[in-house]
Amino acid sequence: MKEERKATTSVETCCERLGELAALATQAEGPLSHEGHALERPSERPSDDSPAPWQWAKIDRLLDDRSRKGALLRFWPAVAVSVILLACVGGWLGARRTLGYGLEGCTFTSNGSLTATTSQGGTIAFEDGSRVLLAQNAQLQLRLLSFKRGVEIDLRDGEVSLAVVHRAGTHWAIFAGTFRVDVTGTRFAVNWSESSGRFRIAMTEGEVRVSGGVMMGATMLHAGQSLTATKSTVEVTDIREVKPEPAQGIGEASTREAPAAPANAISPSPQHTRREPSTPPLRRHSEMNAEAMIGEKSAAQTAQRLPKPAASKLAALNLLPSASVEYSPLSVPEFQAVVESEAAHARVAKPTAKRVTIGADGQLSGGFTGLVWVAKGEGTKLTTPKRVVWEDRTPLQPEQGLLCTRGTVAALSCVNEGMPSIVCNWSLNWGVAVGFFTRADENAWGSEAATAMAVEFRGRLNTYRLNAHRKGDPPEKLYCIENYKSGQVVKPSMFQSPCSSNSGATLPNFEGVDYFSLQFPSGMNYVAFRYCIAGITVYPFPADVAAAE
Amino acid sequence: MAPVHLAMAASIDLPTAVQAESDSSDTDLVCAACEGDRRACYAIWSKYAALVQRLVRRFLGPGPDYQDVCQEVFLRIFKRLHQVRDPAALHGFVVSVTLGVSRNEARRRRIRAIVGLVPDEPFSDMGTSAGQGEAREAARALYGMLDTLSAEDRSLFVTRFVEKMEIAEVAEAHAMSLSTAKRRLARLMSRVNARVQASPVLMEYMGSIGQGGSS
Repeated sequence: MKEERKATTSVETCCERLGELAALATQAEGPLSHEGHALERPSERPSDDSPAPWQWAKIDRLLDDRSRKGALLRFWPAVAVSVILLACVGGWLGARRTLGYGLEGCTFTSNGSLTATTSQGGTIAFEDGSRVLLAQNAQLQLRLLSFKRGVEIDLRDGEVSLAVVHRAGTHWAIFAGTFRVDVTGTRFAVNWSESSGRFRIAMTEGEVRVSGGVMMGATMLHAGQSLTATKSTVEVTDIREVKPEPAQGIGEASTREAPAAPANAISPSPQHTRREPSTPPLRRHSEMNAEAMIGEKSAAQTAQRLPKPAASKLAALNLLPSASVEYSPLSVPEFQAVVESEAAHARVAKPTAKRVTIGADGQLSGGFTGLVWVAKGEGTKLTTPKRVVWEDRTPLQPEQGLLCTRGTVAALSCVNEGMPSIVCNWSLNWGVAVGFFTRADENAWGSEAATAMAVEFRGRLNTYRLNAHRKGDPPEKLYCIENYKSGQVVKPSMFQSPCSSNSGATLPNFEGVDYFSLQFPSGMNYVAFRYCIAGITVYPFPADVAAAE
Repeated sequence: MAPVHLAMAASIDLPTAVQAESDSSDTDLVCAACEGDRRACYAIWSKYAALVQRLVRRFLGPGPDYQDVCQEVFLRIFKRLHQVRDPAALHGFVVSVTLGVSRNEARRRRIRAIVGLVPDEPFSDMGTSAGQGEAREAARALYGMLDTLSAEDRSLFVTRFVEKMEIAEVAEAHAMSLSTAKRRLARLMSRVNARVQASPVLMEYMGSIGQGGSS
């Protein structure tokens, strides 16, 4: 206890001596003794810190300054920060504001929907110049996106016409039942019937993307096109091919020349009753896909390429494309035998010859004795047959006498597109082919080989290729005929290798050929295919070939 | 600098009753100053300027810029004078404000030292004799040690061991209870002792003090 108290005293003494040292060190005259410690307690010394009058003068002046300065100046950093914060918050709140709009001839119903109050319809005019025109009895709800990013319209029923002014970063969308229309800057009209589930959109300007409903993917609609969808069907109409007629409702907007200002362009008909365009035949979605298969070629080129009867048939069906049309790549269209007449025409022109028989089990006889198979490239997905029958030599089972295949082919991957040096992955993603061996033992045709042959097929309009492979050649070396037409009689000299060359090697005869194949080549677009070999004809005698030509 | 100061002093139109005001009681001075009487402010300044200067110097250590701190102390005193509940306790209020401003200044200096804004050599104006040189080194070490303490501990050290205040006065100046002051002081002493033990200069100085004291 005594030791503890002694230690405490020692520590306190130490602090006291340090305090004396601090007092000495901070005295004005530095009264340190020769021994380095104070001779007297500093607090007992007369102070040298007598105040000077100038110090008061300074304080007095500062007191005056501070009394003059208001709180604003004294606390200017805080004030500045506050002002900046307020400006930022205000700016953010202002920017977060939604698009303003005014109503003309519209009113809100009890359930929050907007509806027209007059028989002429109503108008919603947005501050960015966009306008929405409501037909009579139309009902919609607006969802205004913050930061003026656009508007989402929930169309409950009826018809609305829109003129949307394009601005960067904005998004306009229309929801009609299960359908969705994404809008950029454009003019169009949308009709939705809640009761019947019928959806229709007619484009005047620009383009929109339509999705939902029975459509498996999104469909781009351009100016002049319209789309009608029900619970089970989708139809796309190209109004550009329709002769102008006195229009009413939506049709009016379709056939007029677009005015300069979109906001003023909407001129709804007095009745605002919707009428189906009577003159233009509705073009099925599958037909639009058929157009897409043709690619960029114009209608004139297509007509020139096709035989006259086929071209006239297509023209009668209004299938000749007027322009490149977007289509939904995932929607497998209905099978349309658009070249059937062409094949029939070819059949008529041919002389009598040996017809190859397709057995019920897929076994060929009468000219060819090999089995029929299907092979595919890497980008191809088959739905029929379920598996590739090339490897296991399982014969392709015919469907009602037709050797068919279905599926999708991915688009080619290319570099230097649009240039002469374009390179694509042709060797990997080459498409799909239905082929048949000339002999059951898969050897060369031999002495029984015909001098000419023809393959009849039906399928989607496309550029098909007829290939021949010589026994002993590598698999990738094929002799082929580009743009092979159904029923076209071909001689060995018409097959060339490589295929794309016009001056390549030709087949001397069919004796060395071990199989033929009809190829659906891949293209620049993802595409769904379905085609069938309907018949094979061989011409064993040169006289028959001469007669056929 | 002196002629300038004198010239400034001469230019000030001090009231003739300044001395009389200085002799007035703290209660009268506080009341008058609260009513805006600048003469009362001057009287308060003249009465407590020495105390404030001494306290600031002892708190912050030797250095040239203590005058700015003193000015700030008085500006704050005059600004908060109306908050004094007992005008007779002006002395304690002045001490309290002085310690508060000094603590703020110590914290500010610590931050400056951290960011590299080191102040001028504070001990250059002390004596140059051999003995004073030893004391200067010890004083430098002492204030270096004080710099490692918190501003609160430093304030306690200055009031208790440099200003020689009673523990009750220390507690009042720091607005804490007597028991808290005792506890904090005990803890402070142990910390200081530990730091002194770790400082050869201070240990040598304490040894020389002990020898001198014993002799």
